[in-house]
Amino acid sequence: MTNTNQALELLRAANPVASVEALDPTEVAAVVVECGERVETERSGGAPGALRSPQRVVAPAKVRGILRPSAAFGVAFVVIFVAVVVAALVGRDAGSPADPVPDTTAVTSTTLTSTTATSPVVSTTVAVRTLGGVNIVDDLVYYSDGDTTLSMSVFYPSSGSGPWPVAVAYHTHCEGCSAATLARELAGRGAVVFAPDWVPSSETAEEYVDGMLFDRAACAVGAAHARAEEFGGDPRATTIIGQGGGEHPAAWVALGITRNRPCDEPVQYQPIGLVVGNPQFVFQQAFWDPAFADPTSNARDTIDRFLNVERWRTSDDLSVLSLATQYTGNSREVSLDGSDAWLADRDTTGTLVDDLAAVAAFDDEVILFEDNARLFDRRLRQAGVNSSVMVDERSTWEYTEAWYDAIETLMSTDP
Amino acid sequence: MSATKTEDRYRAVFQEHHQHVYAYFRRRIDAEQAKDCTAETFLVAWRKVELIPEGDELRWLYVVARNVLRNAYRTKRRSQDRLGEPPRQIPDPSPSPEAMVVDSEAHQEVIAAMHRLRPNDQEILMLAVWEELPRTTIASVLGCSEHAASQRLHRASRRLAKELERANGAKHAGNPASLRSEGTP
Repeated sequence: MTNTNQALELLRAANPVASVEALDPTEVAAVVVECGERVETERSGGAPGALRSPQRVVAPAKVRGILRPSAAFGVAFVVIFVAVVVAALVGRDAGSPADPVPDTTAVTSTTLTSTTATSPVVSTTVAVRTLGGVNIVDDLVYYSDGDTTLSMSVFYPSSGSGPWPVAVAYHTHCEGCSAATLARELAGRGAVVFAPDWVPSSETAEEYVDGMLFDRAACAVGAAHARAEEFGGDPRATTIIGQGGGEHPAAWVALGITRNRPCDEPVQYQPIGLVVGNPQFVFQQAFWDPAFADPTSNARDTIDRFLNVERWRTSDDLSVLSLATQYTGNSREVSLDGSDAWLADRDTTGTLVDDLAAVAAFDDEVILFEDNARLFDRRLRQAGVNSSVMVDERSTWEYTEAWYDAIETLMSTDP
Repeated sequence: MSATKTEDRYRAVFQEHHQHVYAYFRRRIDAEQAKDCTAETFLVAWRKVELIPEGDELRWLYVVARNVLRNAYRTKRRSQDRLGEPPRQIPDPSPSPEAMVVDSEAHQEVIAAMHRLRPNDQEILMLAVWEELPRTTIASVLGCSEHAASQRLHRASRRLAKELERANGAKHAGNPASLRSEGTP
């Protein structure tokens, strides 16, 4: 089977550069000097003078095929002027705050027909909210075990026809938090976005790094695949997004590193995209230290799954975007050589300190979101996964237009 | 910029980069057209020498060259439409005195696979693999963000790999000798 790297190597070897003959520069220079002198003479208001080199290799007919510079400049100026005016009238300046969502919420009901593994062909009537051109359906259950029930909302365009790319967007780690803002923005751009609530009440730090929380949250992806077409989505084009702590369940699924499979609905398609916003793959915060120091805890196995590329099972189609701001609330001090005990507790591969040093994580003696993003990017590239990083100089959490543009590009299946 | 400095600057840009620009065209079109397009590119450089960024001249030239090439294709397409021939962006795999030398079966296969890709995919693969341009430069040449360039390159690479797989699969399916050697009943 030909993989991407093999294909590129074959293409590199077929580079016809070896057979490109050297260009005789006088052939080109003579033409340019001739035309250039005509330009200079016309600019200065004089009549075209004698040419410097009467021996022209290229026939004058070819020179005459080039647009006269003054005409070309005039045309270019008009085109650019019109484009600027049109952009000012209808465009949005990248980086400015998104337009506020109109304060109109319509609530209607619609009947959805779904076929799932647990309930074949079920027609249910659900309430649909409409907000700023986006339809929203709430309370879709994606996990239930008697003790814990987890549900999600789905956001999808209220007009236009799909099939739309699909996203599953995990909010940051806090009870009652929501990815609604991001989901609404992406749905408004043309996507079906499932936003699961994945944090149950009062779990401990040890329970968090144990990984079961992520296994249960991963069930949202299978449920999204099962139901995407009801809302006009194409489950084969799924991107998983995680904000803050949400990057943990997002990467858990996208990297293929789930430990348990407690879900009713299986994940049917490997994702084409993973977005992590302000990630913490190093789990740098101090309240996780006891879990990593405890040999009976699953914490070291959990972090090993995130950072050990040998354990990843990714699709060749996967592209990853890591986003980071300069928010310091989750940062932790570190020594210049990374010799801190807390880092050693998390270094399951023996390469964590070296890789953090390689991305200059120790230079400012503090581990930030950016360091996590660059470490993740480095490991992804080592694994041959297409990866890029966008770092913003702001100190807040909010997503910018540039970030939304980048996510939209990543989700798109257009060339 | 004084006239002397303008000319000096232009000459320096020309000396350093004319072969790169010519090779860019030569990988895509025949020698005579490549010379014309190179001349046209440097004519733009002559007219706009004060706009060429210091230390980033080649990227600027690639952007111009790409536009020149598109104009050349448009002109060629108009004449080929009249003749009924499809335009080609990359070297024809069948050997001819005019075409690039494609010197092995593997090379011919990958060139043929490139032909089956969409022009946008061909373009970005050539810029990345044959021109060896960094992503930032590719993004400038294509007029998109670096992230979008990265994304498009990844997907184009995937499509090329799939085209090669498909060709290999068709080759083995149609070859009784290979089936016997693999033990397929």
